Amino acid sequence: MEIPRNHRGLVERLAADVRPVSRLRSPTARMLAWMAFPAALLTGAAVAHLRADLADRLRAPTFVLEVGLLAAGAGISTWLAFRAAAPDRRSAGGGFWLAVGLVVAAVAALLSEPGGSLPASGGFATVGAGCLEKTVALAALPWVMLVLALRRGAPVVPAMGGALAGAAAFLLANVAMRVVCPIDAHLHVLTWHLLPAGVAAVLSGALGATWFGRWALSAGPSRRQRPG
Amino acid sequence: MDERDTPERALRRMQWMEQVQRGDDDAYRALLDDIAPSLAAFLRSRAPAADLEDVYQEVLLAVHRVRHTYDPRRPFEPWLFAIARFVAVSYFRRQTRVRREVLVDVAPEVAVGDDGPGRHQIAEALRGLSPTEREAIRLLQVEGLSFEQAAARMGTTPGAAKVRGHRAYKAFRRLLGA
Repeated sequence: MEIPRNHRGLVERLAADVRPVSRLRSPTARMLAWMAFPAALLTGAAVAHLRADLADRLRAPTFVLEVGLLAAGAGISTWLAFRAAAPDRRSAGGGFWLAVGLVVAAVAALLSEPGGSLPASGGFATVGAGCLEKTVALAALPWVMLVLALRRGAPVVPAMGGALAGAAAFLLANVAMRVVCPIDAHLHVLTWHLLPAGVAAVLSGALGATWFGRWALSAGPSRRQRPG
Repeated sequence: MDERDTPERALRRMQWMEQVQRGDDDAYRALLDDIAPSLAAFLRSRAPAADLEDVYQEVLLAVHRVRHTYDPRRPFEPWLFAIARFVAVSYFRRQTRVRREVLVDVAPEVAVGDDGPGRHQIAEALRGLSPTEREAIRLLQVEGLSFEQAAARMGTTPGAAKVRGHRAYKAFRRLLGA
């Protein structure tokens, strides 16, 4: 089989540049390492501002199911994002649809609850803007950390990797918001808690599409390789 | 015996790649030599012959850059070909974008139409260019080559081909009075 004429020159150039590298850990190990920080951050934030009726709410199976499904959706999204950053670990669509299914199930669990009403003081948008702000604040740092972690890999489905990163960070923030925000009104939760997660996934996917694929074509051997 | 795709060969590649991650240049040479035929065949089925060497180079450079993402407990080939596939797609996407940018820059101003220059004006303008400028216009616009391909034909670097191309367009527009 004929090999390209530039093969020998390239091989010598790359062999001269080879240095020890610190190997990327498995997606599961990376997910667990990453999860430790947002879990601590969100737990701290949630404990400091727990909703007054949390004990009552935790006696409602549908509420526990809803929060559990959101947490599972966040976990799977994170795991899939880390898999998307390893060239040979790209998951088939099944994992993605499982994450979507978990979020849909969480929404179904939410809608099966009585719901409650919006507080008398403050309008729908005013109260909701506060929740949106908190959701974004809780998700921002985990998202940045996740994006940077994914950049250290080599995503071959950049848009999907970005979307999963956005979904993971905002779903985790949603979990925290459900134990912080005392409002259970369906429209409020869907509009100001969950919708931002969808928007964040789309925006993060767009960012991933332009940013995560840059490893593929650059001028020469990496300057980012770290000695092992 | 042809040992293509044998478990022994697959295992050897995994071991070589693990050594590469520890900085072993001999293992790197052995591995790259070993994968060259199958990688070239893989790319040949996806790239025009004129682009093969460029894409091949991009793939090897990408493999080098992201070698830390390989897990030595897993088979080497799926990792390699996932990278090769993605790099090839990215390469052709970039080529298409570059060509489109050039066309957007230049094509409307040299279009032949009611308000644009006539054929004889274009021919006159082309005659007014230097042979080097004419060659750049011909390769980049008429034949539609990439900067890399045009550079190979001109015997220069892609960067110089790009500069030459832009100077030629500028001169061409000036001669057309655009």
